[in-house]
Amino acid sequence: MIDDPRGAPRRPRRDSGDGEGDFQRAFTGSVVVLAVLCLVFLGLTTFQGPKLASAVVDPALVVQQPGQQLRLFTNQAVAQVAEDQVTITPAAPFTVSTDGDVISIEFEQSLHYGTDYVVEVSDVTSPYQERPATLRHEFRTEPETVHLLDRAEPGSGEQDVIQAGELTAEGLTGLVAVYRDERILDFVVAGQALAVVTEAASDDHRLSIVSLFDGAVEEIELPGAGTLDELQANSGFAVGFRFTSAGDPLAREYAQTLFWMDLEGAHTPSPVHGLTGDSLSVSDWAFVPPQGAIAALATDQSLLLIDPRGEDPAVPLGIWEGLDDISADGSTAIVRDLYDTIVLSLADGSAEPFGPSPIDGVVPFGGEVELLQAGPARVQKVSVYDPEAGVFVSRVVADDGVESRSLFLSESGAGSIDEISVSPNGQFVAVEFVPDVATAVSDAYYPFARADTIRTVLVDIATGRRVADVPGFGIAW
Amino acid sequence: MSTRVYVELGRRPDEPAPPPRGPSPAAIIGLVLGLLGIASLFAIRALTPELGLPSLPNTAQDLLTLSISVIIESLPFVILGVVLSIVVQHWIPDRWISRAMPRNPWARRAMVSFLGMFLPVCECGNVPLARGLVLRGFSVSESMTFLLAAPILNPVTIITTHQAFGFDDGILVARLLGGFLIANLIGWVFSKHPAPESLLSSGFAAECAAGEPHGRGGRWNRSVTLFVREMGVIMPALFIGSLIAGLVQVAVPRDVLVTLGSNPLWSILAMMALAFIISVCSNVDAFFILPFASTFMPGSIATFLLFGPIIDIKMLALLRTTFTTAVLVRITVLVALLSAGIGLAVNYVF
Repeated sequence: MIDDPRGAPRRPRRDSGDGEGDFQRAFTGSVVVLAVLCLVFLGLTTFQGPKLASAVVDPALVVQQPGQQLRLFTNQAVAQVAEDQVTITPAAPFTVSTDGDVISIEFEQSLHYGTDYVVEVSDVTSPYQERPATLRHEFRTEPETVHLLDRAEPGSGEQDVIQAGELTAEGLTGLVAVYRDERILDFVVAGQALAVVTEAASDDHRLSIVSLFDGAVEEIELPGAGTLDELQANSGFAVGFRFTSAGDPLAREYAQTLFWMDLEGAHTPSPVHGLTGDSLSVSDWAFVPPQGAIAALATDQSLLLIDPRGEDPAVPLGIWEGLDDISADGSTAIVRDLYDTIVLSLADGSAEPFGPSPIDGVVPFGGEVELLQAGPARVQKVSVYDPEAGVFVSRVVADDGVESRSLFLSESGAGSIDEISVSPNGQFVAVEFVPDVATAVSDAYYPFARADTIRTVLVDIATGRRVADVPGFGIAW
Repeated sequence: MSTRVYVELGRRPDEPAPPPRGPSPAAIIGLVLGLLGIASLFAIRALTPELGLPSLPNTAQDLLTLSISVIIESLPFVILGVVLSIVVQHWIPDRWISRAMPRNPWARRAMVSFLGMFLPVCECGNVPLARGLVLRGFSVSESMTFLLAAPILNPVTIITTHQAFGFDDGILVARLLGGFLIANLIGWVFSKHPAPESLLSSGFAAECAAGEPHGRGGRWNRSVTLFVREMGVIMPALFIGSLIAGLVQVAVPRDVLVTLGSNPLWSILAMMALAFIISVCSNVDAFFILPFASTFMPGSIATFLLFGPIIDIKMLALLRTTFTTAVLVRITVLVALLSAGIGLAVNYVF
């Protein structure tokens, strides 16, 4: 009994219960119903295998960097998943690991741009019971933004234009102009900016950094009046180029001297130093992904691996005639000596000559080579003798190290294949192609001159399908 | 003297007025010893920086890391819960709580279930509040409904559960819906009882008559006293619970945990046993159980979050001051079955 607030004792307020029987029936009935419900759901759950609760993958990074992961979160801890339980469509090399309720699928190479992927993991069981389940996750990767230079018709008075478009498995769409200027000689994409080389009226070159956010243009102060070429960028935080001072060739301060510029620091070009600590004149050079080292073939034909920041000493990698390409993972270089094209390991310096593999049983003559992401596979420009016509025909081929497969050739025989470039993820090759050499006119941008009719054809390396054919050249991935 | 007055004073009308008190000598000695202990730790560390104290074994480091992480995550919410509890118990007028209650018993119980949204105290503070509700004219079953729903259906618990789990695996939704269902089912069952006063323990009347036991003096004094008392109750539970959680993860082989956590039934029974033993407060239990989420099925986590705030060692001890043993057994059976059923349903659906 409880005291009333007003001072009088009272009992707790009563509900509508009519008697002990009602209460017992309500209690017993509730217990029975709940017990049955528990048994039903226990049965259902027992006969149900693990389920996919959520999945995480970065659709942008997964096309840019190898080693990205798709993480499948299940509703319960699962038994170890083997690689033969995992199916990825379209196929991509991977490794798989399991930890508790997380299945991690690591893609060994970058995935394809703008592509729908389906990942299925079959026969997934919990450690407790053998009831198998299949987990399925679909995702679409981000498209790649590519840039192309489309020069104006000679004499038209119009400006040259750098265009950007979205590249997917289906093709190149949404080309828009992102920068216009007079006499654009060369450009690269450096992160969220363009580095653009233009020619001034004095024939000297200018280097500008153009923001892709707001179009702001910053003109870089070069080491003096002169010309630059071999412009390259690395992962968005550095650009490099060769610079040659204007004036008397015998009194030049810089002659084909390699410079680099850290875009994350002061935008001031600095010379790259060789073994002796002097600035370095180079015939070929390239950034080595992903760390930003530089492979430089000096004019004395010594190949050096250089840390442009000067924190690590330069590493000599032998004497070579030319440096053609660096693999996307930075492990391998393609170099040339007097006789062969050679695969050079940047890790241990081992060198292995290689030539183009036969195409339809005929061994072609090799030209420009672009390595794919891993293994011996590569894309190469080759010439094949056509005995019926009695001429050499240029082709672009995919070479797996055993045989070559044609990706592109000029059907009419009137065209000319210029340069080729493989996308960083190894999905496409961009072929610069002049459809009719006889009628083409040079744009006279010496020494960067191109035919006025030059086009870029994008070919899917896996299928050989042409996905785009657009005016312009110098594709930047 | 009215009940209202002696409730505020915390004594019966016929009790003599207590003498004014300051801090006891034992409290002062304890405080001084504690401060000296902390100061000596700093002094030792400052005087012996070059000694290179031996590092703890990896297992002990894992244990400390796991335990401290739970404490750090939950401490702000513990303090918030205690402060809100003080506001509710000492600063909000009684009439605000009982105003505008519907007459229909189902609607009354449903509304009582959500009183926790305005009285966001954890289960430790709910027992005296539930007594107060009976005193203010609520039925025993309505008081039970509040008692069972308020630890779960209150903003602090909702926020901490959301912080820990978001909307993943339906754990948050299952907890909220489950808490409402459990409270209303039990409220309905006990509303059928013909003699509700027989559900109460014999000492309840005396407990109620004793009023609020949190301290004497003005509201500020009582608030400070209540803060000290609540922290004194909750912090040991939090530290011990965190330590047990760390110990379980470090000491119990991962294979055992994974196997146990992957079994639909055993995972739920294990989580109910864990909740019963550690008696961690509902305001922080989501953070406590978060490290287990990767090895235990989501339904078992939901069961832990439903069962723990209502039935655990500490709560049963508190409830026994108000209800008979038979009532507690019946409540335990119903809560166990319904929380297990909801956990199994979560495992099936998600």
